[in-house]
Amino acid sequence: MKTIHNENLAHLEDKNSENKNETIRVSLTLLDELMIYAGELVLARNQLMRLTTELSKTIPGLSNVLQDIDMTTSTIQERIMNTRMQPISLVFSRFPRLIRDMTMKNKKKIHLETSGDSVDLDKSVVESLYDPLAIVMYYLVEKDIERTEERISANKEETAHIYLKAYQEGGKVNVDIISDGAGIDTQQLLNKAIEEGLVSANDAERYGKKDIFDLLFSHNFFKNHMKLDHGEEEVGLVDARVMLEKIGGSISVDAGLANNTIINVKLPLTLVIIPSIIITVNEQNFAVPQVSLQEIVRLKAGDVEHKIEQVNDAPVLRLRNKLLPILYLHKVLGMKKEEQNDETVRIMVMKHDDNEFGLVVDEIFDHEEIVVKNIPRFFKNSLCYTGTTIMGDGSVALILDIGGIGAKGKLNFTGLKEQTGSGDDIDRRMHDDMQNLLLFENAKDQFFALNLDLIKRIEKIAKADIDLVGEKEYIEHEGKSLHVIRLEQYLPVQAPDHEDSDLYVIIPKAVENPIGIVVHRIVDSISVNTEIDSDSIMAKGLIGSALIKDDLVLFPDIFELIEMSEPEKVQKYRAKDKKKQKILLIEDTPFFRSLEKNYLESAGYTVDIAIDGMDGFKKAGLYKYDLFIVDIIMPRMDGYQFVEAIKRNPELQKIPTLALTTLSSEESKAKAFNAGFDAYEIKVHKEKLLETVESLLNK
Amino acid sequence: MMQFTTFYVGKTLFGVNILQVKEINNQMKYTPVPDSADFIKGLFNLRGQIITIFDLAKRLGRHDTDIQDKTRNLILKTDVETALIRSSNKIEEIGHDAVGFIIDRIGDVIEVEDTDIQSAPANVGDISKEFIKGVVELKDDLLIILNVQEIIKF
Repeated sequence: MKTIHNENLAHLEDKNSENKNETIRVSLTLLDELMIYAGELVLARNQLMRLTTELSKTIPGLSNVLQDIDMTTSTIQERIMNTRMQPISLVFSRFPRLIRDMTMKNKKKIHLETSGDSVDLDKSVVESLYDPLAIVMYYLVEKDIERTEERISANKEETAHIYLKAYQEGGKVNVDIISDGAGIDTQQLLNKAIEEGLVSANDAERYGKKDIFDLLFSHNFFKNHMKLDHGEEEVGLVDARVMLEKIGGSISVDAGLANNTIINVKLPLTLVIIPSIIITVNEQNFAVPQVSLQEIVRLKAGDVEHKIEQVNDAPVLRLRNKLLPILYLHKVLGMKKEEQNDETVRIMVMKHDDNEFGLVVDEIFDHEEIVVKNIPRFFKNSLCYTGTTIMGDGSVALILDIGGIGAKGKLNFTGLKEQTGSGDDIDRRMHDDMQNLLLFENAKDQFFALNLDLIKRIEKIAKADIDLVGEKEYIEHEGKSLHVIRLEQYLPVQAPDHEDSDLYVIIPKAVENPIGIVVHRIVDSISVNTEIDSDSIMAKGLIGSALIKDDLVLFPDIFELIEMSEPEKVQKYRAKDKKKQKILLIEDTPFFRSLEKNYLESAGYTVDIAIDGMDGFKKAGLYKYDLFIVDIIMPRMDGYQFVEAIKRNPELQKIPTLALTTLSSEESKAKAFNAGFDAYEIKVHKEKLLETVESLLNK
Repeated sequence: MMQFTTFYVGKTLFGVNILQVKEINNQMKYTPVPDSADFIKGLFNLRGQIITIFDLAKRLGRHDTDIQDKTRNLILKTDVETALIRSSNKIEEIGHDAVGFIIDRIGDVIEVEDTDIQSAPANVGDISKEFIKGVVELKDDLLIILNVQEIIKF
């Protein structure tokens, strides 16, 4: 059946190459109908899959047929969706006229440029996009771009530029609207907000730049009478935000600097079928759109290190170096909590706009593609739902509105943000040597762990998804084929004695040639404070071992595994014996200490270690080091203090310093350079680290 | 001449234009909607259509309906489904969202002459006037014709 299928496709392709631009007219009603049926087909497929899980073990060949149906259904649905996609240029092409009309009146000179015109969006999104973008455009032309004389006196080009840029990122389409006008005066905006009583003077002190920018969209400071698709109206930026939110989009100011105002609009590709996670509260199913989900945290009963705490009467979770506000879904929805025997707390870390919060639910199930149906008008008053969907068993589930849930939970994001944002103090206080590990099993009772920071994704796959090409195995991942390896191929460990039909693939983060690691079972994700012993069990591809809860756990070295599995792609940074340069590595987390030391040694450097800034400073003078690699957040003396001390010391100040940290924001980067660091790298990115180290040493 | 589907909520007899009724069923597995009006029982899936079920007794100001053997859902047609027959048959517009009522027991179909329908001057028993479109005096009972539009408006 497969071959016939492929022949048909090949035949189609031949035909297409002959008549490249063949098109026919199809009525929109027909397409809409097809889309509804495709939706129903997806539902029926989901139901079928659920009903046959048991059967496929007993009926030979059934699972193959099911997989075919599964794949074909997804493809049909995707192709039908594609028929409704329209280029964003349909909207962009209307703006030159708008700008022309406006500049005729206000005598400004504006040049409009667009890019990404061919980015496709669902028809319904395209149709609702002109109005909000026009309002933003109006705001920029009227308020941001100066009059010609002002531009001349400010030594700026007479003609102002507005740049509309569309691009796809993740599952979203972004539209950046960039202008080289005067920028947004945050102080003035804040003062205005205080004047109008929107913000109290007290609160205003705690307002960060982002919060001030958000004020632009929470209150109409400027209104214009505009001719829009849905009629002539007095509208402002708040209306633009509301319109965008209606179609599942969002708007924010990315930069408000002079000459570079960037307003960013995020739009969903389509509104009809969305990936989601099914969760339960009191045994009722809800669907959570996956775009908002950042990660899942599970707190075991009795875990004293990680628990929900109260800060100013609000529940929070200390997650890495942040305070995460916590909401209980049953409380937000006003449901009574039933007694639960299982005391594990399951928290979904959600992100909406730029606000993060943890949502506590009872159970978290699989990922599912759901068909979004409207929410009946009777529930519009509740902020909590965006739609409904029909589950595999035919029952109805509500789709949660994460923005609404956050608002309903009356999250004081600003307040909490301040607490975390006040920077290194709290970072330092909260920083401990805990590591978040993913525990998994390959052969039975043989445990492995990887640091969660090293993992990009974990995919559940069917055994049949793995294709053997030559001697290597591949799976399809994000439309590309991904080389997958098994631990027993490269490490001295046992192979599993049997193979389940469901396997997992761990895809590491921050590597240039990604591979996936096939594992048999994911055991848990845990937080532990443990030292990795790199002497007892030594093998190529292993960082070391540790005893965790009385089990011996091996820590594979992803980067070495990649090198072992793809020797033809081995980096240029292999050990070169001519190097005898010595590096002092200052890092307080044992895990990273072992890992980074390992990388550096594998590249041929000699590495000494120090466990915090103070220790590092003491050791710095003992030997003539060629380079200091320094973690930022450390107890006693942090990275900034360390580098400042080094730069004050005439003997040490010439030695290059590299900040190696998990903090990836531009701010912390700038702060590091200000403090005197010569380079800045994010942890776990091996290739880049070695590249930077080499260039620092060759200076 | 009009035909009414009649049903009981408690001991009160109500009627809805038969052309407005889509179907009557006994599917009692609802998905409750937290954070919504207390007289909404929940949602269910009727062949791919999401139906919002109102607890009629509760809406009329009585206690929650207790689900028994004879409890049924009375599902109404949406505006799309009544589009062609609405104007000629005096059917109310109820919007595009499918709704249904949970009722205690189904009654007979009753034929009524237009002239027999009287407007309700005031509340009838515990039923508030706004929910009543008209009343018909039957031989041994009083039929209250429901104002559906008003019931689902809030």
